[in-house]
Amino acid sequence: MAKIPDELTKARVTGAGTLRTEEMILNVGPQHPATHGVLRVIVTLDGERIVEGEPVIGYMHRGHEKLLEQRDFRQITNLLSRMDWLSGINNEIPASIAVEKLMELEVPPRAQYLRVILAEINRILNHLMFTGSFGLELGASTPVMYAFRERELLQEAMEMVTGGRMHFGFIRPGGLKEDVPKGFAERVLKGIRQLIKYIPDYENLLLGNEIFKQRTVDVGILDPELALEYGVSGPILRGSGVPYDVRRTDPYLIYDEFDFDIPVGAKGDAFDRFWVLIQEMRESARIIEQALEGLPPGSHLGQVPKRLTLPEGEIYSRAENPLGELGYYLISNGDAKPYRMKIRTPSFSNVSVAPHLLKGIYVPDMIAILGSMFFVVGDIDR
Amino acid sequence: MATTKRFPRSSERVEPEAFSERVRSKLGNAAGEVQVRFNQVIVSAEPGRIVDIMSTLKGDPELRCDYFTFLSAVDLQEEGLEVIAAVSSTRFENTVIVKVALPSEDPSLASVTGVYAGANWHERECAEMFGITFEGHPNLVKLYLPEDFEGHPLLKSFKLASRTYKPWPGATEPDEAAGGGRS
Repeated sequence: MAKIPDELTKARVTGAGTLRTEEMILNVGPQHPATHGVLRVIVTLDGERIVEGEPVIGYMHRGHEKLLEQRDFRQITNLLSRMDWLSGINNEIPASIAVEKLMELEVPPRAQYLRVILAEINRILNHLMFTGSFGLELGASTPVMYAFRERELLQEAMEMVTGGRMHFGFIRPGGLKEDVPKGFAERVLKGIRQLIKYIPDYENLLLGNEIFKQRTVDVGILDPELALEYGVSGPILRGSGVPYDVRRTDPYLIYDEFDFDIPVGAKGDAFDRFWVLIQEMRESARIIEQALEGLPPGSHLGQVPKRLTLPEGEIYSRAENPLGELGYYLISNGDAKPYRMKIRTPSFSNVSVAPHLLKGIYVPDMIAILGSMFFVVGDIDR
Repeated sequence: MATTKRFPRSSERVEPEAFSERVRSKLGNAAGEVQVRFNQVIVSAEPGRIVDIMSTLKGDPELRCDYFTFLSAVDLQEEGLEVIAAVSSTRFENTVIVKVALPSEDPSLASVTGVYAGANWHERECAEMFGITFEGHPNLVKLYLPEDFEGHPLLKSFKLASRTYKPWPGATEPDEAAGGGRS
């Protein structure tokens, strides 16, 4: 190797010590907001280190809360389905529960069971999407292919029931729009059996992968107390070791009848969050199997008046969405429309803690951290 | 190592009625009426006591409302505005909803970001949507709306422009729906 002249190396050494550095502000995003997981973040950089990272939201703000005040209680279902477009059914459920509780409507057992089954299928669909996309964000392009192979079977089952693939609009106050068609149970069982069979593949491809570990272990550690103070929920909070799950702490539908476990992380890093996400699919599959086994015959819709007029009252109705706690604070003044409906979405609270996680890290870690926050922009902005 | 565990409901879970008694005695005269509705504890409070109340809810060892659920408001028109803040205790598995009445003219309230840092975005949203000033908020700029946006969209006096311009295109009453359709 040619010898480097002395003056050149000297210049480099002295230069690094006396060079005046200044912070640079880098704008990340936004791309088209409907693209998966794009968030605008303004980062202040000192070299490759992030001094400060501040998410800028609102590019997808559609004014759901205002629009809901213009629609009656049956119409809001279809609007809410579009909020977090990966979990349509889950968005619809707590809204119907709020109406049912205020009106004291009876929901038949079959509808309760089917709601659980559809909600858990939707949870798996959501988790499979993030399983694939998190791999992509870290440069692994194979897992997404596997994830979509399993996803398609369950997606077809949903399509068979609701006719839709994303915005289902299937939950009605008092029950469901329709009963499930013949052959639904077999189709779902086929889907979840294939999923259970291949989950070890995802674990080997990602969780057991040395490169994946180096990108995620000890990266973006979220302190459980800080997470709670920000109202972080779902797999992100459980990744930090807090076993908070609305299905357990404030059971709705008939979740207290099923046997399932709550996976929690130990350290609260990106790896743990992703680990929790994968394990939750197993638990959802367990719930679906139990619910299909116990599915009672009967009506899919209770006695519901043609015109839904709610009595005066207020209720905070919540559910465990795939991404965390979704809640509706519904205020009714006795009209056919909500007087006010505050939407508390999981992604909003989850992403609000991001500035803490982005402080002092290196730029490539930002992608691993934001990817492991599992958010949907439509769910942040509403 | 991360684990999958059964995690039943917390062994320290308290029934909502009993928890509301705790809330009543711990908050003392800082709170107005305390009631239980749909298994949630509802507390009405004077605007001046909001920070005290939130600090007690979070810090008291028998309440420990560590989880910040949400903060928002509602426009009650003649009766002014009402700020609604909800916090939960993961240990005792209860949710407390604090309600504060504010006047419609120049509404302002002390920020609770000093107690729950997570209130930051919630208060920013509430400020732009209802015109409420949160005093002591570290960065009370617009969250969703453009900088130069005028008005506060979630006030009842703010009309939804598209509906004023063009009425709802479909049937508004169930009887009007053509052909009946499927229920």
